[in-house]
Amino acid sequence: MDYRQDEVAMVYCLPHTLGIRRPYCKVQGSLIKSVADDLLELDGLRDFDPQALTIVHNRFFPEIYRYARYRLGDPETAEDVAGQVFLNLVEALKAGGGPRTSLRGWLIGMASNLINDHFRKAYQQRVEVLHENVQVDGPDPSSQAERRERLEAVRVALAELTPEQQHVLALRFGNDYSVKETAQLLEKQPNAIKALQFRALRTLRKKMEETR
Amino acid sequence: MMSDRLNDALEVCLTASESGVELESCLTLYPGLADELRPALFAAQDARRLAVVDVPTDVMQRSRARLLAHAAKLRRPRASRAGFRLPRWAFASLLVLAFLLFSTSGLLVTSAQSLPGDALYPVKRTFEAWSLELAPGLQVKSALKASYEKRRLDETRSLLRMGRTERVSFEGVLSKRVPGEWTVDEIPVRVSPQTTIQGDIQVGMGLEIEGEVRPDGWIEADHIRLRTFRLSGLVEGIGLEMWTIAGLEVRRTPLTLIDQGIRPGDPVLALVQVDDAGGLSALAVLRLTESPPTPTDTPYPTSTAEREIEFTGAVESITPTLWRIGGRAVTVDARTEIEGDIAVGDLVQVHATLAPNGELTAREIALADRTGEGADEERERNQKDDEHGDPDHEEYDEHDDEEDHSEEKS
Repeated sequence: MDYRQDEVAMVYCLPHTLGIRRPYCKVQGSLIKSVADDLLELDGLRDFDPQALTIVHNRFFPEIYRYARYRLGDPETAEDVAGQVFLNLVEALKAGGGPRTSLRGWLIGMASNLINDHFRKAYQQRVEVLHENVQVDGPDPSSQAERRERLEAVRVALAELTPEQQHVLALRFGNDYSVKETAQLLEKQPNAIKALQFRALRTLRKKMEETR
Repeated sequence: MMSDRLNDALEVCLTASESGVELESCLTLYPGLADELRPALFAAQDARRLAVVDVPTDVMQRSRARLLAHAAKLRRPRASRAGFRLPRWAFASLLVLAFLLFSTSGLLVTSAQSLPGDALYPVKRTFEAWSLELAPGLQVKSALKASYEKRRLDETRSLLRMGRTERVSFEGVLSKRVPGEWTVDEIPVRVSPQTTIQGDIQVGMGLEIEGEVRPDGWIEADHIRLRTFRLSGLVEGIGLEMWTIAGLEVRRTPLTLIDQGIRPGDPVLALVQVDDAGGLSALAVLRLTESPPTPTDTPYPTSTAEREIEFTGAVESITPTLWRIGGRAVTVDARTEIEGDIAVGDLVQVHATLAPNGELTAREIALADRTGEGADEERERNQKDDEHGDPDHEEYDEHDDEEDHSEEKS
């Protein structure tokens, strides 16, 4: 997230991991809007301060939602999963757990786990996984139908990749993270991410050709 | 093992396609790999189509409401929160230290409430100095320092309430300034012609005040020093320790908070600390969405004209007119001098002009001094592959998926 100049009212309010708040924050009357090390935002979260929770939610929800939509397709299921990620975060903090090195990494990891669980349950219960009713543009209905069909084929093929392959494609193409950012989230080397990405794309292509 | 060269080529073409380059144009750079790259690139196009850009506002609002409702149930009373938390072993050490001091003389406990001018105040300050010396790590030290800064403010306010005349020194943020009368962290400070002021101070900046508490409820300032200020500008250079922002060199420390993905040419807002020697270090560097305003927050002049900048970064992709280096798009034209046989993955030093709109145009690109053995070895390997065929190339089989899991273990 980028920060508008007029929203950064008090950059001095940098919470320390030991929970000390600088008095300047009270003087200026505005809350921390942005810190780069997102772990520092956990200071407000540990207090369950509504403003801190709102800031963190607003900052990270779009990324988590996009990730969930990419992997799940269905908007309602994606909304449930994305929302549950943040509920799990406060539960973890309450229990003394939660992120240790990266808030974003923790949230994405939680989203991935919830989605993998969702697919596992659907497979075990032989429940058809809902896909989105894709709205596509096109010059005419037949080209729109063709696009819709293609997107559906991509969606079906994606679901047949391994969870790790789905994960890396969702991060790279769904959330538009760089190789470096993806490597940090997956705690792998960039070369490993490139290799995983290549295999995932090649498998995706192969799965799509099999279904034609 | 999958060829690194193939993976790198894919990444180059993916980056190029994001910049608008046609896939087939990129494939002409890798004629020997085109047959393997093409299916992956077309799959990447399909993979991109699944991306969702817009997040519905009502979805976000519902999720936020749900989170706040849940947190309200979990919220603990504020009184139960500790003032500050220390690692257990550090806390135990300080307890032992405090116990020893208490059991021998009792000075420590008694001195804790002392104010400037009290007999035991030096004991309090000495203990604070010891704590800082013994603090295990920068973060603990920084937190203790912040708590002691708060103490100085509290002591000053106590003396003001009592109307006691004593010398004080404290740090705070300037929130109001009229000629001769400033307000620093809600403390009224009188500024006279005799007050020495270091730095071009504006409202919103952090100051150090040295002066005397007067019975009329004011601090008579003898010295005012700029301690922290906000600096808006474009990032001109990113080094391991030093960053150049709006013409100023600012040191990056282990505690500096830096937004992810900041690159040369990005507009940023930095919170800068001034040390006793006048050196600048960054407390935070945040990326801005808007171009920085004409500087009013900074005491130093900035320029909005085209500037020369230098930076070092790894080459991520190469096209005839656009290179990606260290995450940044750099335009290459007929005047660009490229020194050495530079390939994707090489660490290079770039001398470029930075236009006011943030566009970087390379004047010179050269291999950096620290290319590292890895880069040399890779180039050597690639050269051998070119001569003798790629020995790492394999046809895809089902077992490739298993490699993902073994890589995860490594």
